[in-house]
Amino acid sequence: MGKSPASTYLDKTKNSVDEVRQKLKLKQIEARNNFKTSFPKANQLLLDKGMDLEKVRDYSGKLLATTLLTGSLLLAGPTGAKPLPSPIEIQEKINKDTKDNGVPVQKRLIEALRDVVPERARPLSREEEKLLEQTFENTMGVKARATLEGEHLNTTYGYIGAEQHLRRYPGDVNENHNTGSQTVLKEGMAPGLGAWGYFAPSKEKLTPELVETEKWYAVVQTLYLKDWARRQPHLRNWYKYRKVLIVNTLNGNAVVAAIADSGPAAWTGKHFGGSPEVMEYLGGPRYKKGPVILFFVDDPDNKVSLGPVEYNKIDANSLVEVTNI
Amino acid sequence: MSQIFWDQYLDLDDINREIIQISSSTDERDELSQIVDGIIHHRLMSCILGNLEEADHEEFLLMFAKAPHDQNLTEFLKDRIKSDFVQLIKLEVEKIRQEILSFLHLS
Repeated sequence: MGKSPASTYLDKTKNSVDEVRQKLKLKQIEARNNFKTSFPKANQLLLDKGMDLEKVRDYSGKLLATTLLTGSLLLAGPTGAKPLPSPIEIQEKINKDTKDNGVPVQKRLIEALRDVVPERARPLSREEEKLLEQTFENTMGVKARATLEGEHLNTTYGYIGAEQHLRRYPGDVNENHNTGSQTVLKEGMAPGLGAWGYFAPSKEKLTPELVETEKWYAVVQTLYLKDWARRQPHLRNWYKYRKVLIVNTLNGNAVVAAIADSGPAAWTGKHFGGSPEVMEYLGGPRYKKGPVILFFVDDPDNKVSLGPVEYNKIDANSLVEVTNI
Repeated sequence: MSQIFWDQYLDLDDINREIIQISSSTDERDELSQIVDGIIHHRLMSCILGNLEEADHEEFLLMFAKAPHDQNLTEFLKDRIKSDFVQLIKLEVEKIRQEILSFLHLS
């Protein structure tokens, strides 16, 4: 008896993956052997230092975690030589221009970010992160933290890239994600499921909250967390739908999103991903990649809504007074 | 963040898309991504050492082992390698891209 079209497709996919895996592994062995044969002394020196090139990302991640923890990271870049402004200085500047001259908060925030955020994405020091946490809380009213409950991503400042829609339940199709924006539909549907599978077991069980979760979802590199494998299932549960504040450092647009997938691969030149809706809000219909700050939202009572943070609508008189910082 | 200083020259999004397309689970996707990562690191290190004077190998490797993310490594290599270091890396990345894409397209 012949196979059903579905099982034929699955078999073909499986064969393809196995074939690709085998070829990639052979390529990997070839690259490793060529390195060892051509540069035996270099290979030995790295091994003596405890570094296996295959696992250099783990090695680097551990080093970075230690240096960030002890504050001993040497930071090169535009803010390296110049002392950081204090949160009070930043807030005074934002308040003054906004209240006295009617300048939108967002415009002032972008200028303030230029004094704090380095031009090229790199790990932020704890001092820089704390300054940004306070600035975001004071201007946007969102309590966001680089480290929450002891968890910290490998980076909080990096490039975000466009992701596709995720299948929310079995049988979900791209057209069901129509929110009136052609750009958002154009991204299409991801071929696989997100890291936490379907959002709901069926269309009937898809709640409005889960619709919002997929609509405003973010992707972070949990696969490169140094303790990811060791601290299961705690980390997997902790990151599932965890709210994050994403701020476009070039235009100040901000959105609260929920983590719903892992990635992107480090060799894509990106560090985070955003749903079509997240990307459209952060940078417009043609926005595919750009620098952002990404912090966890401290929201134990689940009061912060997913979606755009429209802080320009905040009444200037309600901005935090510098004396309250 | 760049965990490795050469990350800034990696932009292999098309390979990532192909891997996502063929993977049936996140675990499978991550596994293939990690293999690609291993290929890249060995190839780029070979490319660098192959173009760097042997007398400079130890100094570079000690710097690399101390802080693989350090952007000063780029400056060191720009200074010590006679040819255009950035161009060399970009060419090697492009070769890796073509080779891996050929597997993915043949599958």
